Amino acid sequence: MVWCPAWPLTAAVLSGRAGRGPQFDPAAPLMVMHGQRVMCCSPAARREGVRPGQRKRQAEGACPHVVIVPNDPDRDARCFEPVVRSIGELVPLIDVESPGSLLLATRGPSRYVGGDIALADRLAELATMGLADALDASGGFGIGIADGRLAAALAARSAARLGRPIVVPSGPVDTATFLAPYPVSVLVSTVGCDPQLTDLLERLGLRRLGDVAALSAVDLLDRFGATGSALHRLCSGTDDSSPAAVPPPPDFTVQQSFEDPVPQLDMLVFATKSLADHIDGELVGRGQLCTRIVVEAESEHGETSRRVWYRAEGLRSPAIVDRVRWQLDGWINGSDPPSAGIILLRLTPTDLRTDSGRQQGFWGERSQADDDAAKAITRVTGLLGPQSVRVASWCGGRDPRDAYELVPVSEVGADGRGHSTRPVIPPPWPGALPTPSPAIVHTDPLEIDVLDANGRRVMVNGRGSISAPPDLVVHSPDRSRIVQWAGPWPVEERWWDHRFRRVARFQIVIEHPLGPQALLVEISGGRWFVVGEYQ
Amino acid sequence: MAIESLRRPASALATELSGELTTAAGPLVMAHERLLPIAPGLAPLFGVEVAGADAPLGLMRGHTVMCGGPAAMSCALAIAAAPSRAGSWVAVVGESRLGPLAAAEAGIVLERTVFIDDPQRGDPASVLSALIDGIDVVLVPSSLLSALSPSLVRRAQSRAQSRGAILLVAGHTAAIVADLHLTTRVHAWEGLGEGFGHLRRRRIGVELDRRRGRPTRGDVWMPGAPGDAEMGSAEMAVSSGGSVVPLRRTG
Repeated sequence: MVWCPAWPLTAAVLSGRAGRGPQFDPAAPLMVMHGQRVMCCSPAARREGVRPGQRKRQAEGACPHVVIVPNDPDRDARCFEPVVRSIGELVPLIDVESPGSLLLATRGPSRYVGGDIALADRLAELATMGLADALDASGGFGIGIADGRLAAALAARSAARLGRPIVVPSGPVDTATFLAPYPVSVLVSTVGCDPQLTDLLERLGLRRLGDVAALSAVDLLDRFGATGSALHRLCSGTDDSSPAAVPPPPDFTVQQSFEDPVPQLDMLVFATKSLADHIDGELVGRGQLCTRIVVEAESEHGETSRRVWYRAEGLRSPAIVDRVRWQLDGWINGSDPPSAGIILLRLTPTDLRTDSGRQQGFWGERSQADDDAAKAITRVTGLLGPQSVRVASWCGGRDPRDAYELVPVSEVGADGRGHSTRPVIPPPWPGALPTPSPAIVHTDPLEIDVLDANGRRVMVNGRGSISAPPDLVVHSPDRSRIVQWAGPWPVEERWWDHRFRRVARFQIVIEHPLGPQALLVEISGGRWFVVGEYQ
Repeated sequence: MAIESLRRPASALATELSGELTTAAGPLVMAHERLLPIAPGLAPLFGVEVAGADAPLGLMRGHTVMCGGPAAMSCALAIAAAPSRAGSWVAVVGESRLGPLAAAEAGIVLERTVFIDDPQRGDPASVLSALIDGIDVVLVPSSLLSALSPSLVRRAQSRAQSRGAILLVAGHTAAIVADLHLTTRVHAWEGLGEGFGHLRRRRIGVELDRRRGRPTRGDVWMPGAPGDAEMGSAEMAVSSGGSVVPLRRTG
């Protein structure tokens, strides 16, 4: 394991030098706060008495001139990426646990460079490459080589303190001996153990990992279940869960900038063709398929168009070109066109999966009907534009207008796999109307008038009571008598911002020559509207 | 022409005609493959036995179905629901007022439903034919068909017939002569009182008019059992007349 005790500080120094944030001096006392506690501090601060876990006041008491560095996980991850890449040159499969901490399987690489110690030296060289004195802010990398995740993490932590790599000899006996003196509380920070469990272990008198390993595995299983037996495996050095190593995600972003702004769609589509072919070629070479792609275009005046496209069957070169054409056509010939030619076109594949080919489903998978429908949907999207073909996505709400949102099929795919927020059975929503729901919903409510028996407009006061029973619906020139009604059901929505809405809803049944007709009406600001019709 | 072909050897003629004959006859299609399921509640109207079947087959592929009257949309949703649950896709064209919530309650599977904007902005003929080619149930409002040219509607209808898609029209229009014409009327709404209760269901009289044969009539509760329109008997109507649970404001 390669571990850096205070990576956020190095990241802050690096991004300050790259001009993306405030400048920090790596040799000065620095610390990062998280949730009112010190998350990590630089060696200079540590010398003054600052410790992780202290409150801000304690830390500033120990070192009055300590500088607080803002906490920004995105920055940390961004700055860690070059380190992952440079180590990736030597070891292809890396498991990045968090920015500043990565785990790799050593057997192959250490044979390649000539032993564990040589590997540790080589890793230290690669990790610190290009970081120079920015690493002083965090105290450098600790490199620990050992059997299992826990032993490696502890070795790396000790290595960071000592300033040289630690190699624990392989084998369960040696590993257990190495682990035995550590307190059980290290399990929390290294393998994500529940703090309540380590607390309980301490109260049971099991203060060190060696104490836990000395117990019988059966007793631990008996007392703590599966967690107990996992705990015993960890402490006795027989944990064999190898690092879940995946290759670092390659970056397939391609872009083309134009010296002269391009106003014509045809030329842009032509340029897209070569970009799409490039992406397709790269992916085919890796046996992968892109299912979601981000298409961005920028005009000379800085206007941008950005859209995400999804296709469950994968986006090959022609499909990508189609989508870029739809997007740019909609933008350039749409209602809000760019005021200048396009200077930049960027394609970023975001979802990749292994290209396993396609096979017709036997039961319950894709059927011929799904394929035919997908073809029809693609064709209609091409004819009417991407915004015109939509699928319903559950978003919930007490109003029948809000329960489902129609989202363009081009962004989520038509088979419901592209969006994650659709429940099989929509959960009940507090304050929603009971079923049945109105089949016709007026997104643009129809204004009407509701009168009482004396011909006055029915009003609802602030306490939710009506001025008189409703009797007549007037939608000029029609007048219909109300035969059944229920309400008011007052709703106050979004009282926290400007979208505040206060309405009272009624269900009414009016007389009609073809039989009674049911409506959902609401009064808002003293005016009546038809929201839905139970047609 | 006929005499000339008779003079040639029969084998040569057979080869020559075989291509023509196969295209004319088309691939062999079994009768049950030409049928789509129908909601059990509506099945008696179509003369289909309900016994044992979850969703009995009864809707002929390629037919045009028009639902008219005050419960037209609910009736159309009920008809689309059974094929949708059996794996067919549904396209709703040019009806932005349809509530997806009501469609889901009627039993339509929204994963296999697409909502298409009014095609009159673009090329309605191509849009309709693309949908009819690929999607089993195409739901259009009558207002859209009235706005399109009669020849376009006729072409869409014959295309649906040859491709085996159901063209489902919500609302009455003279722009199309439907194979099945359902006319609804609402007898009564149940569940709502004078200031209390909430809408629960309604009793609908449905008349099914075919181009050939006598019309059939029946009464249906909508909504009935979850996801389908339930065929109600006269006894049911009487027995469930007064089962309203009154909910009154108390303070």
